[in-house]
Amino acid sequence: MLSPYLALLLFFGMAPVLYALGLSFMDTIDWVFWGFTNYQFVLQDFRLIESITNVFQYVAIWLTMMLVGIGALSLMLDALPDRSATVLRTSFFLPGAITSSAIVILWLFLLDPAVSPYGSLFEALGWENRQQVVSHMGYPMVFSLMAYLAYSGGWIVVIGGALKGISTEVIEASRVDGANQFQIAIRIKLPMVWRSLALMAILSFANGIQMFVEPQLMALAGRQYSRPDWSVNQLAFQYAFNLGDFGASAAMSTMLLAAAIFISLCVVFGTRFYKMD
Amino acid sequence: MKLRSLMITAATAVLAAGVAKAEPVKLTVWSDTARIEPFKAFDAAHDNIELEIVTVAPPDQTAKLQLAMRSGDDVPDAIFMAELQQIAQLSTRRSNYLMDISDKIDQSVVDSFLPNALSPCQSGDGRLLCLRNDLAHFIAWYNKPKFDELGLSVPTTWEEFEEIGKLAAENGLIVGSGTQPTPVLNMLIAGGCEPGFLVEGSDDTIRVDFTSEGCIAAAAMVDRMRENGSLSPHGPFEPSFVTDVQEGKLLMFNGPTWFGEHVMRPLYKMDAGILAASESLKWKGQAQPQAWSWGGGVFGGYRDTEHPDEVVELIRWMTTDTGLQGRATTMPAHAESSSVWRDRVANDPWYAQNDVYDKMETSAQYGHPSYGGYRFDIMAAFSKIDGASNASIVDKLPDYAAEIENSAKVAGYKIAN
Repeated sequence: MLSPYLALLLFFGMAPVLYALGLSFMDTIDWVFWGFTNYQFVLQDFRLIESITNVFQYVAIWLTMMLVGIGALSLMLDALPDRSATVLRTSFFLPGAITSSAIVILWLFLLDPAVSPYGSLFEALGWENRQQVVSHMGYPMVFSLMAYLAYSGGWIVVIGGALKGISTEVIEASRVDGANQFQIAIRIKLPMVWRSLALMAILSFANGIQMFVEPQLMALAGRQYSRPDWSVNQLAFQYAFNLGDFGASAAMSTMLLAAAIFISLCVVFGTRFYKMD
Repeated sequence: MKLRSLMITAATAVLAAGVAKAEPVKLTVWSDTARIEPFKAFDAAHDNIELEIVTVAPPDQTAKLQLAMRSGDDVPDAIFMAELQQIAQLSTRRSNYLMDISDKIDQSVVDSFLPNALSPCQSGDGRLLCLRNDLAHFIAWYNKPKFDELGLSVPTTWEEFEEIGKLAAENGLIVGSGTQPTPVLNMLIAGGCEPGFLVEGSDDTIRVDFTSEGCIAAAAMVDRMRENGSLSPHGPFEPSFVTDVQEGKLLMFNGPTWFGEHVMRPLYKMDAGILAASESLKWKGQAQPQAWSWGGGVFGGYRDTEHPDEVVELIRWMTTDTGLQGRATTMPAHAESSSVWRDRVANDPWYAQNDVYDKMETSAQYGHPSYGGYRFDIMAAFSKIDGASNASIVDKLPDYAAEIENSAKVAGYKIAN
């Protein structure tokens, strides 16, 4: 039963990781063993701390938006009659059907006061042009909004499914006991689907610290928005494809992977995610 | 009967010719979309060389070349570089692509280019790594009818430019963009800022200096002009800027040589009889202007190509063939081609005056000798700091210096004191 999964994991998961790990100790031009030189080079990069801060700011804002936004929307949808909930759920899902790269392009227009439907809001705040909008909101906020729009719809469907799984007897019993809609949502439903929300948080976290597309594509709005070294993953890309140093790139990617695995394990064991009730 | 024998003779002749002729040498070239036609023209003009043209988006080229060289497959024999930092990026120990053509190109060919045209191709240690396709130095574009209407004379100095800016702002007009990094950087460099120039004779030591008097004066001018609105808060390709221009609000624009043909005409849809050009601006105290450039592509070859002679011929022909360059869409870097090109511009009734080319040519000698390719992206470092806060440029000068020094060090440069 496990073998197809193991084969895929081996060829497309383990093998590239081991290859990168090997590369990270080599000088990839003359093919000699370099020990920790690549790691040293990467850790001394002045952009590293900055990009780590950027990524964590982004992940913090985005995860909060996901947990609060998706939690609230799913619970509200669940309280609606079935038919209207389905219509709404589909409409929430639609923006997620656009790939995240396309969403960036869309947002470049949404952020320009001259063409944005929110132009009057930006003007009311005194933000005259796209550069001011971006610098006032800050890149972490801009990217969080982009990512929220791209991913929330799918998760609303998933959490909606989990809520559907709660037996109607439980809900009816609580109603008989005098709980109102709000109390049912917060005290009964939420504790029963927290595991799905935690799963979403773990997957989104792993996704978030590897962010690449959004900052990379900002350059499409013009040179003044170009941020080729905003995220950690972009740095790895820069090493390989601008400097031509695949060893340094491998070192950065390996460390990024190690960090992601470590933090995910902390969350999994910290929340006793796999413990059966 | 007669006809048939004739046909047979003809067929035999063709066959014999085919056998006698050597197989054409096959070269793979990477091109941007604008260079496809010129490459095809080369192919058509050379029976002994056959080109396989692959289109690559300019920003992706370095990355794709790194991959190709790593895998050892499909490395192109020659490339067009629209982004000049690729010259430096592709001639390092880590990615050693470019062929040194110093002793393969005659001095007479080198001398046939306009002044300063080849400086981006000359490495600090004296190697010639490419030949230049087109020149893209900054000149002063202006709206002639508006200048006449307001009774203004065309500025020659930055001081006069600022005065005109004041007047423009009072009349609701603009004289450029205060956010697009390259035009802003042009103003700073014209004043004497040094955002990382190679120290003479060295290939890996650069000098960063944002503290000279002229540099600070230039930054203060940009700040004042941003403040009074004469430099637009929008980039020249942003919708708001385009709308402003189409409403007739653009009085002047210090832009590269290609700005008329490639932006004012197609994007701004400027009417005929409006646009005129003047020489690059200088500061009062300067003997002559120092004009930065924006683009101006180059052709380079692969150092390990199997056909070095043909590759050198390709690079030479693409940049110096007057038939080809004379009808190019951008100002040829090759002097003789450039004068052929001039006739077209001079006879184009779209320009308000027929001396546009002459202004470009005179300004070519003011082209900054340090303009060229660096392994890191000066513009990216600049826009990163500029976008980070709304503080004045004068206040941000030390931050630019720090960011550029740091980027340069990561790219393997040493910083001169």
